[in-house]
Amino acid sequence: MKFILPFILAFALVTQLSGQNINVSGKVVSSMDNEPLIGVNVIIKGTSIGTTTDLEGNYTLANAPANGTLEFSYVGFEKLEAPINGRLVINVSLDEGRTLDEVVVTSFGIAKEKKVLGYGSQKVTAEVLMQSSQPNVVNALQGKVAGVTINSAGGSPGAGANINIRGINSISGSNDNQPLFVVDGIIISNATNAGNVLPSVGTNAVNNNEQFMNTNRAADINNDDIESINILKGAAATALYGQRASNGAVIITTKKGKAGKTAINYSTSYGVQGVDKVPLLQEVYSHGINGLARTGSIPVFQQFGPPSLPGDPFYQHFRDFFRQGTTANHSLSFSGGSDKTSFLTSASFFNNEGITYNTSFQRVTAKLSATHQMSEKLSVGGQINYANSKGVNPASGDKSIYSSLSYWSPSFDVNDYLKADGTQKNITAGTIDNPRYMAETSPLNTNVNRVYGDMNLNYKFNSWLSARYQITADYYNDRRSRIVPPDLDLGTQVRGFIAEETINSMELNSNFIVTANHKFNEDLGINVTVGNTITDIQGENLGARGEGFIAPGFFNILNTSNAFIRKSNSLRRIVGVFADARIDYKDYLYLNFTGRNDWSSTLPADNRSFFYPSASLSYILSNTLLKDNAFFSFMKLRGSVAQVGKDASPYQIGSYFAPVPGFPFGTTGGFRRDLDIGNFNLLPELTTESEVGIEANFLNNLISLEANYFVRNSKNQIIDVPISNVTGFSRYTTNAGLIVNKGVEVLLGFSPLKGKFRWDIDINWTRIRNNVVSMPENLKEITFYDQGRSALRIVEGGSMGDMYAYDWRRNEKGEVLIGTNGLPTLDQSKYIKLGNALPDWFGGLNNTFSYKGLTLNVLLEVRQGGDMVDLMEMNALRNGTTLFTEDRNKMVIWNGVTADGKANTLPVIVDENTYRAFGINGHHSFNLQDASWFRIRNINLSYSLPKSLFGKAISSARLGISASNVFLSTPFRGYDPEALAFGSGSNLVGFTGRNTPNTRNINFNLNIGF
Amino acid sequence: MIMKNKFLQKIIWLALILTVTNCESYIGGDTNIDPNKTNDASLNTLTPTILFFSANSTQSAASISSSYIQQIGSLVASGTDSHIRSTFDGVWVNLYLNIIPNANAMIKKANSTNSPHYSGLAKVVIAYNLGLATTIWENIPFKSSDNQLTDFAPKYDTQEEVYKDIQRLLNEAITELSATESLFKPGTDDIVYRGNISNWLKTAQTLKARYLLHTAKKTGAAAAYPAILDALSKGIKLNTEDFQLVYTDRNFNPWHSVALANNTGNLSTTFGGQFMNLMNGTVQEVVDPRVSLLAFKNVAADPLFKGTNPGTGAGATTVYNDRTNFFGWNFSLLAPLQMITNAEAKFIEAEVRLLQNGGKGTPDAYNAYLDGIRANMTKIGVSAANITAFTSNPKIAVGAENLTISQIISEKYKALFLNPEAWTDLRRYDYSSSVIPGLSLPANHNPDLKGKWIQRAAYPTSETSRNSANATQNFRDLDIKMWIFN
Repeated sequence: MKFILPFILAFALVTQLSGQNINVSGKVVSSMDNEPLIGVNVIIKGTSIGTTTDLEGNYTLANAPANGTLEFSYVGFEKLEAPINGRLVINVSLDEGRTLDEVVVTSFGIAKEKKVLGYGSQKVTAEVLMQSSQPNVVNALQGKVAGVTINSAGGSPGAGANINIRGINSISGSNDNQPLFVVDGIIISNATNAGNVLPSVGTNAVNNNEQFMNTNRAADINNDDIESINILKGAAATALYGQRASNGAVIITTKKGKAGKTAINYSTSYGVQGVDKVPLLQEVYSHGINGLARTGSIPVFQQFGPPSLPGDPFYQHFRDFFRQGTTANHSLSFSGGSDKTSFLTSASFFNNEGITYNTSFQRVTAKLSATHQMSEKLSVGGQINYANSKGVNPASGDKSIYSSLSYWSPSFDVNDYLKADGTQKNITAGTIDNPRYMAETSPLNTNVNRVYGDMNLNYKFNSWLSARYQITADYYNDRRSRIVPPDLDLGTQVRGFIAEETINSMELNSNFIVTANHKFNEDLGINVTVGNTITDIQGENLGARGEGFIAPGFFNILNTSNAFIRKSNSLRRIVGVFADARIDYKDYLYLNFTGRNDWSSTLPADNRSFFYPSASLSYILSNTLLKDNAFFSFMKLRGSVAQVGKDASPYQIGSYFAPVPGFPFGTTGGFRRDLDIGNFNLLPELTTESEVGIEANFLNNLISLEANYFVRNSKNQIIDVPISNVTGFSRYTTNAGLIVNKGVEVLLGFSPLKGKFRWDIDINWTRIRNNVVSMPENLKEITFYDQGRSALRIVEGGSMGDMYAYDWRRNEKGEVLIGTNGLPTLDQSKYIKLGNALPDWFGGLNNTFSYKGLTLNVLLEVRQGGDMVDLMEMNALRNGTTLFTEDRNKMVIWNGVTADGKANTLPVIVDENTYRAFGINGHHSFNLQDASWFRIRNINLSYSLPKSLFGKAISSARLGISASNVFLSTPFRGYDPEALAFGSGSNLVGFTGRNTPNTRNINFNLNIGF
Repeated sequence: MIMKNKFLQKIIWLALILTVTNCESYIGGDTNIDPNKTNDASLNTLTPTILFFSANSTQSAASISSSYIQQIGSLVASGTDSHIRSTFDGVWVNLYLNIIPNANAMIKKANSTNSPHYSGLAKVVIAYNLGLATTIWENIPFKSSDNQLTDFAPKYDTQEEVYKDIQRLLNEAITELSATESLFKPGTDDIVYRGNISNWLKTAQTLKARYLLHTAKKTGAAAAYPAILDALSKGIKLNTEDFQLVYTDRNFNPWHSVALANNTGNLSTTFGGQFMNLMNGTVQEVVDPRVSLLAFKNVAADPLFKGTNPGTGAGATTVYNDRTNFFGWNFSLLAPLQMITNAEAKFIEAEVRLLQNGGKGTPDAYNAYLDGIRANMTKIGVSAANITAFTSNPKIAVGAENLTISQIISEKYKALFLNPEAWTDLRRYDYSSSVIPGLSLPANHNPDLKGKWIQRAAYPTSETSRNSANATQNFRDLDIKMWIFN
């Protein structure tokens, strides 16, 4: 108190001395719609004396100096200064602004003015978030944030969405490089649980990840509860969260109750969705092989028959297979409070019936949050959230609906799937499944019950010292089951199976923070935070699989002859202490230091404790060198260097014996030594990130620019290094490798039109380059995924996302060798690097037009570069169904030379064998495709009804219509290449086509406030 | 205010003290030990593991080697039977990850508990798998294997060293299995012999004979042949003593899965042309009664059981099963997976006795030859009458004087259907069509082989990418013969 007092006295003196004082009043409205603005700060410039506007936008300020200036400021609007000049009434209208005076929420819920930050972060408001009408918060961020890549696992209801900030920085395909998710200080899990849905034999699936496009658990959040999201990108930004946020953090702030009248908000939407892009078919040739139609009972599913005759049945199976999906959302909230207590309670219901038959995602949420000011010093708050998410997911990946569909013959109706007796109608006699039958009979059912919440206490000792304690919890239980009847391909070898699984996940956090600030003199101040955090994360997965149904048609695990049980647990505990000190010099220099020490249960006792620091600087030129510059309305330079240590996953150290998969053998149990071993001297991982940035507004805030350049080194990575099996182990968990990600992020905003008709443009652009600088010793390459024709692998000196494939056999001169049969042959002795799955750059362009209550928003998005393998087309080529295979029954001369070095002159026919023989279709030109795209991600038109239309009961009403994936342009031949085959929570990029294609959606929204 | 600050100080100190003192028990102790795994496995839980994976390896090897020698053939053109480069990953992974480490753990535990029967069993299993591996790759690591991570780039042993280790392991096993005392003894955990130690001894002896025959060219016939006959005299003599794994209706014979997968579009292989031509009378001019027990003829119009024309993917009239009830003998759910058998022992005896006699048949050799045929026929379920008819057919019952190496190896080739040992036999005789009549190079033959027969496999990618210097140094082109065949 004693530091503040002199200032107040000084201000008081100033006001007393300024001569004649008058009472000023007026009304503040928005320049766009002339609607009153409530709660605008009106202060006398140079003092702290001021007031706020009331519900009608009116203010009255007593004792204002007649020769003073009024400052009007309001969140989201440009600051306005109005000289009083003795006027008694001053009415103003404020422009919606691109202001940098925003407050952002950083680690542990600490709110900071953005201008003091020495690192990049990007805030997305609820308004921008809701433009997409996406139920999954991760998808709702698509195209809006620089440095952030978001890929959905497909167009299924509840399909997982993968978010990656500033590139992939782990040289392991199975590592999850997704950021930490925090809701009002509560760390919540965004895990994607692949589960275990495969039988003991009968599948070539790489892993469970590809099988059901599983939901990422951030999808349990009700988007209507969100007030804003702040994306903390770099290591400096997440320094206090430390290792938990070593891949960045998504800090979600939810809406809170405000003092005054209880606000009731109801929003609803209804939408329809359809398949976005489908591969084109050849319609020239009918079913059959070798140019002959096949007849009788012989299975037919190739399209290498005779030319189609008029009237031959022909179906667009890639389109016809899908139905029109629907979405419906209802969300209701009550919020309000008194000057001491505030509350918000909300409930929501979301339902999505997917484009694939028998798929859905249903979410029910409920929330209560409240704060109470117990005394001047002590306040208490807390919230509890409940979510129930039920999914019916379609099988994807190997032996799935989509692999069957990719083989399907368009001469047959894919939806004609049942015989009169209710059994599967299958044109291929069991070779592949009827995809529709599979969809109807064999989905994955998931049922998640989740609770997360917190309790927090805030104590303000005095004007410079305060403390906060928060305990947070996140718990969910995920029950799953999947039935595979014996008549499905996947079930034949085990006579059908059922997999049931229970996943429990729990995280508790205790955070204690003390903050103090001190001003040494007028110019120099310090702000210090110290804290302690204790984390306990537990997981349990109990799975049972029954194989071999005994009584036909009764698909229950008790009705199976062979039971397999799996169980896994995990426990991770972290104790951390941290400190954050910021030195403020005048109003333009902010120097910030942080340090954190962690003790982790997952590291060896000797290496368990580790410390990592950060330093960052913010220098606001516009408050010093460029003060009152006409060109720069705002100008800030910043830089940071930060380190983050990171522990291991639980139970990595040493080696164990565990039951042999598939055992007992008969009734005899067997153990084997685990194929993995962990280094007894495992060290924490270390990521070092340097970042420089600029934030500037030009020409009276007409244009805003923010640009970052970062270099992120990830070394001593804890990865399970593949090692020579001869050692007795397949993988060795140790510290190895160095990966460098470098990137540029640019945010550019400007407003070509202001005032009544307003046009805002927001551009984000990102370019990330990755370099695998060093790999573990003795290891030449790490293959993330080898699909047989192409592989995702890294080598030292290469980059994350490098795609390898086969080339033709060539002679010493590099010319393609043509055999005596006139055909080239595939050189299968080695894969050659032929592309990279990650984009060269990507960006979004968001246009917002507004006129009175009408707002039109158009979000364009580009991803340039990136090569992908279409797992759908791989099958369709072999069956001659896609347009690509229409090119046949003609003679060609393959470019190349014969064994004697002479140019090949032998003509050969292009036919079935060209597309079917692995010797030809294994070539990269058939497999790797440019997957660049440009799309209109979203068009959103909304209209705020004028208040004059309705009475006092209704305070606001907005109608909207939005459409997503309106337009897509890509050279990629298959479905929309955005959907990743291995879904969320995986670094396996570059493969697509065996999951539900992306959808095009149209949504109608209504939002009413009472 | 001051009071409160002191109070706060106290709370902070208390919190810090609690944190520090509780830290060790909170994050230390057992927190990082996986509750679902153990640091120690008992002998009886490791035994089924190494036996299961030995059978698994054998099947995995045969799925390729039997394609190379045309017992089976790919259903698509230019498949494995075109002598496509293979790496036999399954065999490598099983040997180094599933078998050697767990067998070594057993030996260590057996030694410390005075349980020589277990260590003997483990050594027989290692020897068998080393024999399988060295005939696939020639030089393989053994001395540097399971090395507790003392060496991340393990060196390879020469084939000569590997065969020395095989014989040493088998000799040690014979001593240990002959011990009268063993504290712990294999029982039901021994999923091959259910604790019958005398069968293990016989297997050890028969394996000795097999591997001495492999190296006979190098060690010299004079020394090798008597040793082989001596080992055989103590070896397997009955079908019931065969070293094989019988599957359960919970754990299917892996060939059963192959047969089922063929019905669901995951086409792999069917019978090979060479094998079927030996069986269907084309070559021997007598139809082998085993043919209709092994294969299902799915083209009714064709009178002959035909395999694929090697390398073409086409021409077969036979499949492993008929989509409903019939499964070829090797392909049924519970079919035994044979590793070394009574029949093989008989054919080894026939061959050695014939070679000892300068390549001319003797009555002993002739009887062993016929016994070998009978043993396999009996096992597969050929009726006694049919066995008699076949073994008395003049094309087969040629008499002792007329017995040739070709007849012995041809019959062994039939009896060792889907046994990787048959590949070694063909390579020992240089893929000669005078030994296996009708044998010729497959269509679409791998151009890398330049018209020569395949002699070996490449090392798995796991090895070339993780232990590249050693793998590169030991790799020879696929057409180069191994040490034992030179």
